[in-house]
Amino acid sequence: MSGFNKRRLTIGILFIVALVLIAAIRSNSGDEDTIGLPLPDQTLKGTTFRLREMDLHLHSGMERPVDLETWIDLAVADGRRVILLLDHIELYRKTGDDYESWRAKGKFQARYPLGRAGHAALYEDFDSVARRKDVLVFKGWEVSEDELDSGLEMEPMRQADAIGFHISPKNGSTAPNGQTLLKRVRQIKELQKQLPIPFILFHPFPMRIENLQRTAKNQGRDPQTITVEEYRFFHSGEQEELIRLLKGSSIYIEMNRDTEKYFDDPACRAALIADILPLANAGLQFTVSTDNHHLVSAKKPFDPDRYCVPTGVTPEHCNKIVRELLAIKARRTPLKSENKLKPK
Amino acid sequence: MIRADKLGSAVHGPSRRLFLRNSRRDFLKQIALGTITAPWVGAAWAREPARRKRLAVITTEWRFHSHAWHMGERFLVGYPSRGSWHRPPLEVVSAYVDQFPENDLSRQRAKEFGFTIYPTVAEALRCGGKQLAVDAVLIIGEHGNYPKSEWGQTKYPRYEFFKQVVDVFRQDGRTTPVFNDKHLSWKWSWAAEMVEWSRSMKFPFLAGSSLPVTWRMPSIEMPYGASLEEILCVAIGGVDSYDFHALEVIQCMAERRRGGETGVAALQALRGDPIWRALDAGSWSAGGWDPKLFESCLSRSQTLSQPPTYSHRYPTNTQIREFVKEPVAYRFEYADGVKATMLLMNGLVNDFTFAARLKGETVPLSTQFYLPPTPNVTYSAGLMSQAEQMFITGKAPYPIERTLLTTGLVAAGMQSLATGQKRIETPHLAVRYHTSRESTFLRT
Repeated sequence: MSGFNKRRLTIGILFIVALVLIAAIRSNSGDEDTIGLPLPDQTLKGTTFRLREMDLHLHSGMERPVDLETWIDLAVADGRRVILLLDHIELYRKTGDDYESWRAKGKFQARYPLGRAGHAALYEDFDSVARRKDVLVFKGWEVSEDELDSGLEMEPMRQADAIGFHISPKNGSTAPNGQTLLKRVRQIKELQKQLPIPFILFHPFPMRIENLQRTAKNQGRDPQTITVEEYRFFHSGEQEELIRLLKGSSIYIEMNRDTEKYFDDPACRAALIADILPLANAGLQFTVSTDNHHLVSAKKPFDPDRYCVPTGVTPEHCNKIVRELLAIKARRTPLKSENKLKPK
Repeated sequence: MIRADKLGSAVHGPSRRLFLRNSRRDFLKQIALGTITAPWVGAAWAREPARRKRLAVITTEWRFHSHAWHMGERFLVGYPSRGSWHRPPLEVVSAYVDQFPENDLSRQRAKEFGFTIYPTVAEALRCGGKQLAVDAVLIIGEHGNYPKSEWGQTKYPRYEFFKQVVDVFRQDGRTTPVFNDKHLSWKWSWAAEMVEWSRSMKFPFLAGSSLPVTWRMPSIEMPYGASLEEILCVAIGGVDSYDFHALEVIQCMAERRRGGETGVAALQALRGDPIWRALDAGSWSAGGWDPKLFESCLSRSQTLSQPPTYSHRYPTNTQIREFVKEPVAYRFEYADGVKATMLLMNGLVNDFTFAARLKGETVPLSTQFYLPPTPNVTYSAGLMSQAEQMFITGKAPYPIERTLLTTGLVAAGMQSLATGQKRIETPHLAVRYHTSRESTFLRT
């Protein structure tokens, strides 16, 4: 075969290959249009949501810095696929004057009315963004742990998909510890008999650290001198008791973003691992969250793996609540059939 | 015609150049006409003229000996059918798995068979995209760690799964056939809702046990339009589980009676000593069941327990009491007056047998619903072949109302057991339907 013919043959073969490839691509892209074949990277996704894809504590009410869609867009842009939107329930109990001075001090917009009308307006907004297909949205409230002693506002709580109990640092008082947490767990287990939805213990571990460091500073002590033993949340038998109370329950422990800022301190880190790892190994369930209130934090990438991996908290520990919330939503949401549906 | 995949091997020597020139021209023509494909692209679609239907599996857990394992995997590896190995024209493309026990197999299977497990039901149905991307949905809500209802039923999230499936249908404006393994829900009102949605949204919906479709020994069917008086099923297993299978045995036969299904008017569940009084009663009207039906069932069993040294002797009532530690009975009355009893007799038998008294017949109609043994448990292939038929044809081979009614009977039975074994009036179980004359159980 002459060189000319060889070139013709090569060009011809290349032409054929190109035609065949174009035909194949067009055929496949046709399938994508009609049946939504997953993109290659989608097949690599895990069987559960990854940690950074979930935020079970996103403040989205009175303190929200931007409109709700933009607020969600920010979270989605950083990779969130599951969000529990909530607000502090006590904000809606403010009187008119208190509310105005609180708003002025924090430079918050007047987003929602007070009282029952505020609850309704907030949840109407949450329901509206729950129609998005790019993110799973659930509704919650953050309720102060003190209300477990002083009385709870049940009506708005009954509208929630999940409730988070704010474990307070109790700055100026005794730091949260194993005994105080066990007391709260017993209280909310009782409450759950009336209100069978998931409960989350918000940020128990960083709140203890915050208290100890602030107290040390106030006392003129260098926080760097606080020992692992002082930081330890649990003492003898308390973890075992917590495991006994929480195992198999619908009560979750939050691993919120504040954990990260304490992780660079070796003593804090050692205490956090010693406190949390046995709970994770025992199969207790957790949540991950940003606890974002402000634009600055919302624009900061969320990386819970940094503190969850060393403490043994995996995506599997944190996905149960999502499954539970989806099941609750399915049970609650009225479903009307639509005539426009076409049987296949 | 020489296929393109023979190019380079079928033609040699002097004729090769001519062949190449002609075949290249032909080949280009054929590509333009779309009648030929090259071996290096899309081997699957080259062989298959039609796209295989895409199936999503939605399950509670997928482990060794779970229902997802022996039902769902029929769509991965096929199953025997009429002496050959059948490969369903369906491709499992996605799954949602609610719980991952230590012996989970779903991830291993996903890797081996190339489907994706998604973190939500909706994502599994949309295969990670924005629109429904499957042609069929298989829901298997059996096994896993779930709470109990006030009556002791495991709250398997079948309704919740189904609702999430329906929600995707509603949002995306398209439906597919749905199969639900076992009963519809632990809660009657939810089961009724599920059936209502399938009706109003007009998608094919099938559910139930493998017992109605497994082999029978002897291979008999209830004569269509038969006048029935009383029915009995003697079975193994526990409540909220095998009671459902035994009730499906009864129902798949009862529904063929004259006038079709009329629903159930009342049910009473018994456990323990009251069963022995019922055994001795001698008739339905005396609080028991027809002893002849009981004898027929035990005579159809191939696992009848025996006293020491005997091979196959009919047991006395005293021996039965010794063999069976925790008997359970559901006695119920159909709205048209037909009586039925389901007996769970662990220790006496290890199979499912059925007997019915037909009006005017002295000899009961009786058979065993045969469950082939492990490891192959071929009865699950029988059930999945029915699901497959619906997935392919878009038509359920038997009415969903059968399983709606048995769902209600399980709930009523559990309620009766939990509330002092009281008789419960069941006006809500006025489920009326007609089944087709055609039989759907395995025979070949």
